[in-house]
Amino acid sequence: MRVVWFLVYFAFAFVLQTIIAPMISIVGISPDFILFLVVFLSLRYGAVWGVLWGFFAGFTEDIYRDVDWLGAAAMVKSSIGFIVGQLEEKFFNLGLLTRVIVLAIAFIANDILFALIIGMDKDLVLDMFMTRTLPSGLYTMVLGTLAFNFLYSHASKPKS
Amino acid sequence: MKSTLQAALKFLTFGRGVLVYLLVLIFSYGVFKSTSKEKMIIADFAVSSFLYPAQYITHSILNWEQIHKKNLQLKQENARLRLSYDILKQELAKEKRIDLLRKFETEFADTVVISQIIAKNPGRLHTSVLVDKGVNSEVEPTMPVFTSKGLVGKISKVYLRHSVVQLLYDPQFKVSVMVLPSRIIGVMESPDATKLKVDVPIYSEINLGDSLITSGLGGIFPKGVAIGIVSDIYNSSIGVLKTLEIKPFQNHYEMEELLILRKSGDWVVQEFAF
Repeated sequence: MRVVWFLVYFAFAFVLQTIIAPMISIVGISPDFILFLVVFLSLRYGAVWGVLWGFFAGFTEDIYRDVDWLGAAAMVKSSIGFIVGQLEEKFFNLGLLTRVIVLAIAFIANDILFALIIGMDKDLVLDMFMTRTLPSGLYTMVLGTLAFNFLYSHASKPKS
Repeated sequence: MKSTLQAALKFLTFGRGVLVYLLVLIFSYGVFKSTSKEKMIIADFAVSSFLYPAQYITHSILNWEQIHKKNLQLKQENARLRLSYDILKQELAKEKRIDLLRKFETEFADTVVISQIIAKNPGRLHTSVLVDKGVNSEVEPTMPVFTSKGLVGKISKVYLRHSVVQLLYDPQFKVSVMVLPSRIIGVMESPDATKLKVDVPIYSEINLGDSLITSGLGGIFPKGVAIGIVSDIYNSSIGVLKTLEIKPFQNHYEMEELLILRKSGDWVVQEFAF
């Protein structure tokens, strides 16, 4: 059953990121729904599902990027899934603020790790951080706060 | 059967996911460190076997008002006229402009393939899209891709029924451009995948709002295709250059149909040069 939900989340994330995200972008800055779902699923279902989801989401992103970077986003997102998955709800009772902070840290780590793995020039990394990571991260955090609030008030606790 | 599944699950969840994480990490690292040729094979397999069908279905479900044939025909016609106009505008200064006008009639007839975007890069880097025309529509790699507003990229990979379009914002994409009216030539690229930039000599007389067209150098893009306008100018980190930031005529987030320019066999760049 969880595999079916996994596929539904995957399709849902794609629709959100490819169709909805451009519609709600502000001056070219759009939220990262895929990363949000990596964090959400890792917190909810733990590291294994976090790693698998992170891998598939990252690998799919890789396919559409420069072929020389293939595997980079998969490594980054599966690592984020693994680390965030250690905070699984089964073991920790996290509040809304903590979840949003985890999302913010994951967002920054995602961009910085990716830049390091592909060997991006340090000036470009700084520029990217200021012009894309920060605004996009803030946007994702705002939407993430609403989404966490909604998801946790409408979803039952996962079975172990 | 149930016990086998339980055993498999237990194996994967060992050490709170350490094992599955290591397996995934090793696999991803192996892919990342493989040769470009191997990566191409992996990417091609993933696109053709899984991503293309999945995204095609998603696209079909969401695109309720599909196939506006009349609308597409008009857009195609508009694009053909726009392309002819952009190129003619550059060529009118030449003595043989009347001959060229006649030539365009035959040259650009049936050279534009209209295609629909069926998938976009799901990440925040808007560097490529997938279109629904491929080898079966005689699409080939490096063919220029544009809309009625201007250039958007080129074909980078071709499959039987679909192709990947490398957009202007791809850090690997470079195009030779000419700034008008100064006619300064430079190379446009997007090193950070968010802004289009052109470095020109610091003494160049370029103002905000100047327009850019393709220069025709390089052999891929014909000369005179509109690209965008200069939206910002500042001194480059290299003292002798200044950097122009470009705002493309075509908003890359608002594209639905793309037009692929089929290069005819005897495409000769010099025909469109000064």
